[in-house]
Amino acid sequence: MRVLAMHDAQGNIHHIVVGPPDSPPAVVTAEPGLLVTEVEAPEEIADLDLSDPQSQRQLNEVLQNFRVEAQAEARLVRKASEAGY
Amino acid sequence: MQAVLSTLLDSFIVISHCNIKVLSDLQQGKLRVGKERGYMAQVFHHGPYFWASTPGLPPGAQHSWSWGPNPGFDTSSLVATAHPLPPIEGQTGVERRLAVTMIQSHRTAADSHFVHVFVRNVGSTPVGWYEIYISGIRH
Repeated sequence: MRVLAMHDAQGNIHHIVVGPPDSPPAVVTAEPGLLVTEVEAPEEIADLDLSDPQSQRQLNEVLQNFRVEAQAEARLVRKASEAGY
Repeated sequence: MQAVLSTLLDSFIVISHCNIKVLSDLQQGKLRVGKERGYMAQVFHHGPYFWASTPGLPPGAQHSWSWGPNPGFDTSSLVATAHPLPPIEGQTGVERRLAVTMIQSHRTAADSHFVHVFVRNVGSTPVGWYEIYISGIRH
C-alpha cells in the first residue's frame, strides 16, 4: 500500500492519499507551500483493506494523530513524539 | 462475416455518417479488425485511491490527480470516477457531490507520458473523504 502525505514544513498532515500496492502510483496536487512525501504505512494501517468501510476510521486516526518525520526514510510518527515538533 | 458487416453497415448509415467509411472499408477488406490480427484489447481497473483531509475539499475546489511518468496508459482510453464516502460516524445529513471534470493526456518535452484527472467538488458542502477509480481499455 502506498501512502502519500501532503504536509507542511513542521510535518503536520493536511491531506493523505492511499493507493493500492498493485496499481500505478498517483499523486494529487497540493496547495502552495505544502510538501508531498511518500511514507511507510504505520502499523495501524499496514494491512488496511481499502474496500472495507472500516478502513476510513483507521485512516482518520492516522490523519488526526500522526505527522511526517523525514530522516533516513520518511515515516509517520505519533504527534507526541520526542522530536517535539 | 460479410453478412454481419452488411447488417452493421446498413444500421450505421442511419446512426452516423462518420462510420460509413470505416464499415465500408471493413466490408471490402481494406481494414482489419483486432480479432483478425490476433490480439484482444485489455480492460484494466485501478483503485480505490483514497483521499482524506480535514476539513475536506471545499465546494468549487479542484484536485488534479496525476499518474506518471509512463504509467502504461499511453495506448488506452480512460474513464475515472470519484465517489464521496460516508462519514465515519452516523450520517452527515448533507449532500456531497464530486465530478471528474477533465482527463488530460500529457506528453512532456522529454516524451514522458502523464495522465491527469481533475476532481471538482460540485456540491455545496466540503468533501472530507473520497475514493477514485481509473479504468480503461488498452490497445
